[in-house]
Amino acid sequence: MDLQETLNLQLAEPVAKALLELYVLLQTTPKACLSYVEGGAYGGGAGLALACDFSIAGRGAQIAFPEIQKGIIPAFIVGLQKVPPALLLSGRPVKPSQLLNASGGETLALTVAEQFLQMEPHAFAATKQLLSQGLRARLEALLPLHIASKTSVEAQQCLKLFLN
Amino acid sequence: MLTIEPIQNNIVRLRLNRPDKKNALNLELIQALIEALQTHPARVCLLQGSGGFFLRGWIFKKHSIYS
Repeated sequence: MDLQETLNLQLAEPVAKALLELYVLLQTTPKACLSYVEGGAYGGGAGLALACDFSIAGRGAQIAFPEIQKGIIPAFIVGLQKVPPALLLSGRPVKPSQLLNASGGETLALTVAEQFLQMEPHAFAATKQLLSQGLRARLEALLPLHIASKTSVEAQQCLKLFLN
Repeated sequence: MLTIEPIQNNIVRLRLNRPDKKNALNLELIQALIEALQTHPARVCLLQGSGGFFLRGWIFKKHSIYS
């Protein structure tokens, strides 16, 4: 999330609710959702990349969840259940071979996209539904914690340190 | 903010196009992604950043330890 916007407390709740809908949609839509990561994907960006069905790492790809180092609890990311605990608990960045599904350039990303087109749509959609069972309930249960972690006095003070 | 680029039949690239903010998510961008996923007829969506990075969750005025 944009840090300046994160400091806007009035936006915290609508942003959190919209983010919840986006995460649920990515994991339940019958479409295949791929992410192609070039350069850094940090925090919510890393969450978005990994919420997709498949991630392809491009040049300089790096993923990190630095929230814990900033006094923030990455509640939704935990709820996605797609990120190894060691990453969330350390905040340390990892390179693609350690996490993403595949490494390669944009050409590979397009090849993978074409492969998804070959899949039988109903089986694909049904499998996604099964894999995402309970996701909405998990994220809704974590919504208050997600908002509180962004709006707590401690988190706001910590975030302000990085703005000044 | 979100650029929708058809690549070929049934594949669309959803490009996070906010490079001055390191493509950071805000309410408008999240809503644009939701709308594209709900309404675009393509069967495969490729999420991609712009400006040489995917998406930086936090914007730092000073150097981040990850910069």
